[in-house]
Amino acid sequence: MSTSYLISASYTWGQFTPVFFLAGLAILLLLADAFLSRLSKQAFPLIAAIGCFLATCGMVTGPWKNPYGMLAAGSAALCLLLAFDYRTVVHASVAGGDREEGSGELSILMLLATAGVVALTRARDLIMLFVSLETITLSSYALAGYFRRNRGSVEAGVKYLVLGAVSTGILVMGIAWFFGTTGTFALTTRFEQAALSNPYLCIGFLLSLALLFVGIFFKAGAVPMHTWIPDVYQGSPTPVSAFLAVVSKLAGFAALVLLTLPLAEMHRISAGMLKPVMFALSIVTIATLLVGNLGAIPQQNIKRLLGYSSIGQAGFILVFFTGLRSSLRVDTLFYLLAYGLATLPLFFVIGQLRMQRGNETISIFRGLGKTNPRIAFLTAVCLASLAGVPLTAGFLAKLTSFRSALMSTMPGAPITSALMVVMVICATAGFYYYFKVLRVMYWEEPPEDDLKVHFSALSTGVLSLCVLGILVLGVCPMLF
Amino acid sequence: MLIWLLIVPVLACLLIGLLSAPGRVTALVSASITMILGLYVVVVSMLPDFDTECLTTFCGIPLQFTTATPLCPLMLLLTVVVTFAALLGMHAPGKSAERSWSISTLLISAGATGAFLSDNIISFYAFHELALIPTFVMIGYYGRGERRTIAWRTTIYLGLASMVLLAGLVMLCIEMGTTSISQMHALVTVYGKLPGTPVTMGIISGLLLAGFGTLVSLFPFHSWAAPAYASAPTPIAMLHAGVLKKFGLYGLFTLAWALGPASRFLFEGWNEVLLVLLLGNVLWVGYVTVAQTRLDKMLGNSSVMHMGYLFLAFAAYVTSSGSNYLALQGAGMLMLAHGLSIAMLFLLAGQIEQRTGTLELCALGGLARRAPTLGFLFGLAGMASIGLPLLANFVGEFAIFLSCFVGWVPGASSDCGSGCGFLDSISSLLGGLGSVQLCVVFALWGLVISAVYMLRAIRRIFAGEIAPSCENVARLSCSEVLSASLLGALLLLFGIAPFLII
Repeated sequence: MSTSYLISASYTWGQFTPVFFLAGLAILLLLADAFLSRLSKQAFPLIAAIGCFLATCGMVTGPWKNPYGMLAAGSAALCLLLAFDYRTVVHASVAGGDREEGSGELSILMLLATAGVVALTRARDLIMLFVSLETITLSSYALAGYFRRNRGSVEAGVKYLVLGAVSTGILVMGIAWFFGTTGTFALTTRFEQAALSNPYLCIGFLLSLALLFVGIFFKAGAVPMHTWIPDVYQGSPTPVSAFLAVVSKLAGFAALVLLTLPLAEMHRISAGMLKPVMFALSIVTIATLLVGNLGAIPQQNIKRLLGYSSIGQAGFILVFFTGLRSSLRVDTLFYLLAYGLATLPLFFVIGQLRMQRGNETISIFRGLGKTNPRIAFLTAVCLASLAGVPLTAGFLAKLTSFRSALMSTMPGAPITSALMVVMVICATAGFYYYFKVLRVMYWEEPPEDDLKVHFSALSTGVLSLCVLGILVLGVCPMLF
Repeated sequence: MLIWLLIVPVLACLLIGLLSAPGRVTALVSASITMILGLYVVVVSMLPDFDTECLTTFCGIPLQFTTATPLCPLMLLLTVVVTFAALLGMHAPGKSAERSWSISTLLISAGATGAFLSDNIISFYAFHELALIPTFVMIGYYGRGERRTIAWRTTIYLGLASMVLLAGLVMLCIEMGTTSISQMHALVTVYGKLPGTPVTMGIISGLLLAGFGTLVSLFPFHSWAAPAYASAPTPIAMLHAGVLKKFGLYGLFTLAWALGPASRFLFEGWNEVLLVLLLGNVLWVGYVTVAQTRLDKMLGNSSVMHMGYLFLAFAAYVTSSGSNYLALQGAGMLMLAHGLSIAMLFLLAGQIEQRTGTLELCALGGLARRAPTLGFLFGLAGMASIGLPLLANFVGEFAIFLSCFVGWVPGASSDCGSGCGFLDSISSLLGGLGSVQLCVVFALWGLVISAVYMLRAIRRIFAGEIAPSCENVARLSCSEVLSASLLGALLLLFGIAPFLII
C-alpha cells in the first residue's frame, strides 16, 4: 500500500501560502514582542489585523481561492480590530494595573489559531484535520484564560481545557476507528462506501463516524459537546469570546463539511445506506436547537446569552447536514456569513458598553435608543438579523435552513416533522430573547448617572459596515 | 413603476428620521403622492387589455410584482386611502411623537403595499413581517394601559404565527416547484398540477390556516387582537386593523385563486373545522363584544368578529374549487369596506378620547349635542359596520351570504358541503342544507349581535344627558372632518355603486 492511500496526495505547497503567511506573521510578531521593546504593544493587534485582511484579500480568487478561509480570516481580522479597540482593558488586566503595556500574545495566538482555521479548510484527510484543529484549540485555551488575574477568565480557560481534552480524545479515537475500518485517513467516498457495505466493518465505521462527529461538535458547539460555550464566552475577554463565537465555530463547521461531503456523495449514489447517520444527525440537531434557543430565554448576562444564541444558531446550521445533500457546503457558508456579520458587531458594542457601564448584564443596553440612537439602530439591525427578520441576511439564512429541512428527507417521516416543529418553536424563541435586548434598548430609561456612551470611530465604522453587509445580502442574496 | 409606491414612503421616512423634516407634513405629502399613484394603478389595472408590464418593471428589471391577482387592486386602494386618512387625522402628543408616528405609519403602509403587490411568495411574507415591527414598537412606546405587556405578548404571538406560516408557505413552494404566485396559477390551470399528496396537502393547508388565521385573528387564535388594537395609538390601530390584518385573508384568497381547482383538494380536510371556528368568531366573539364597556375594546373585538364572515367566504370559495367568483368578489368588497369602516371608527374613537379624556362607555353621554359632526360621522361608520344597505359593508356581506348558496341544489347536500361529517349529519335533519349553507344560518345571527353593540354604543356616547366629561368638547377641526369624511364618502360610494370596483 503506497502512502497515497493513507493520506490525500492532492496537497500542494501553493495551496497553503495563506497559512504560511499567517503563521509567519505570528512568528515575526513573537520575535518583535521579545526583541523590539520600542515597538508599542498596542500596534500588535493592528498589524495582525492588517495581516489577516491581506490574507483575506489573497483568498478571494486565483490559486488560493478559499471561501471558508476568507470568511475565517476576515472575521479574525475583525476580532483583532476589536482587541485593538479594547486594548486599554486588555493590557491593564494583563499587567495587573501598574504597567502601561502588556504583551502582544493575544494577537499572536489569534493569528496562529486563524492559520489553523485556514489550514483546516484545505484539509483532505483526517491527519490534516486533526493537526489544524489542535492548532486552533491549543491557541484558544490560552486565549480563553488570557486574563490571568481574573477569576472568570481563569475558570473559562480551565473548563475549556478540560472539556477540550475530552473532545480531542474522542476525536482521536474516531480517527483510529476510521483508519481501522477503511484503511485510510483520506476522506473519500470510495473507501467509506466499501467499509459501509461490508457487514463486518459497517458497525465499526458507523462508530468511527459517531466519534468523529462528536469530537468536532465540540468546536461547532452542538449537543452533546456544547456545555463549555456559555461559561467560556462569559468568562473570556470580549475579543476572545468574539473569536470563539465566530472563527472557532466556523472551523468546527468547516470540519463538519469536510467530513459530511463524502457521505453526501455516497447518499446521492445510493440513498438509504446512511439512514442511521441522518437519523442521528436529526436527533442532534433537534437537541441543539432546543438547548440553545430555550436555554437563552432566561439569560441575563449578555455574553452568556450570545453563547446560548450561538448554540441555537449552530442548530439551524446543522439542519443542512441532516439531509446529506451536497448543497450543504454553500448553505453552511452563507449561514455562517450571516451569523458572523451579525454577531461580531454585537461584540464590539458589548465591549464598549462593558467598559463604560461596568458590567455585562443585559441592562447595560438600557436606554441606548435615547443616548446613542445611531448605535442603537445598528445594534437593532444585527439582533433582527440573528432573529431572522426579513430584509436581513439572517432571514434568508433561516429561510434556507427551513427549506433544507423540508426538502431533506421523506415528507411525513416522524423525525422530519419533529424537526420542523422544533424549528418553528426555536425561531419564535429567538424572537423572544433577541428582542429582549431590543426592548431594554428602546423601552427602558437610560441610567441617570450615565450619559452618552462613547463609541470609537473604529467600532462605529465596523458596526456600520457589517450592518450594510447584512442589509445588502438580505436584499440581493445573488451577490453572494 | 410600482416600486415608487414603496420608494416614496421610505424616502419620506429617511427625510423625517435623518434630516428632521417636519413629521406630519412630509408624511402627508408622501401619502398624497402614493394615493394618486395608487389610484392610477387601480384604474389602469382594471382596464381590459392594459399591458401591465410597464407597472411591474423598473428600468427594465422585473420586480416580481403583479396586479393580476383579483384582490390586489382593492387592497392597494384600501392601503393608500387609509394611510392618507390616518396621517391627516393624526394628533400626536408632541413633536418627537409626531415624527415617530409618521414614520411608523408610512412604514406599515409601505410594508402592506409591498405585500399586496408581491408576486413572489417569500417577499410577500417578508413585507408583512417588516410592517409588523413598527406596529409592535409603537404599541410598546405610545400605547395605552399595559402597553409593554401587550406589545410583548403580541410580538411573541404573531412571531410564532409567522414561523408557522413560513413553514407552510415554503412547503407549498417546494411542492409546486416555484415561488411565484402567477406561475403557480399557470401550473395549476394549464397543467393541472396538484400540490403534493393528500397528506402533504393536509399539512400545508393546516399550517397556512393556522398561520394566516392567527394573523387575521381566527377563533381561537384571536386573543391578541382586541388588547393590541385597544392599546395602539390611533394611526397604528387604523392601519393595523384596517389594512395590515387583511394580509392574512388576502394571502388565503390569493393562494386559493392561484391554485384554482386544486384549492378544494388542498383545504378539504380542514373545511369543517374552519366552519366551526368561524362561527366561534361571529358568535362567541360577538357576545364578548356585547359585554365590553370601553369603546376601544369594543371596536377591537368587533373587528375580530367581522373576520368570521370573510372566512365564510373563503370556505365557500374553496369548496367550489375556485369557481365561485361571487364569494371572491364579496370577500374583496367586505375586506375593503371593513378596512375603511374600522379605520374610520378607530379614528373617531381617538378623537373622542382626545376631547373627553375617556373611552369608558358609562362616562360618556350626549356628545352629539356638543359635537354634531362627530356624532354624524361616527353614526355613519357604525351603520356601515353593522351592514346597513347603501353602505359598502352591506354589499360585501350580502354577496358573501348569497355566494354560499351558489350551485346549491335543495336536497343534494354533498354537492356543496364538504362530504361527510358532523355538520352534514345535522344538515340532513334540516332539509338538506350543506355544511356551508348551515353555517350561514348561524352566521346571520351575527348581524343582530353587531347591531346590538354598535347601536348601544352610539346611544350611550352621543344621546342622552350630557355627561360631565362631554361638557366642554371642541368641535372637529377641518382636517379631522376631512379625513373621516374621505373614508365615509368611499363607504357610501361603494355601497351605492359597487360595480365601480368589482
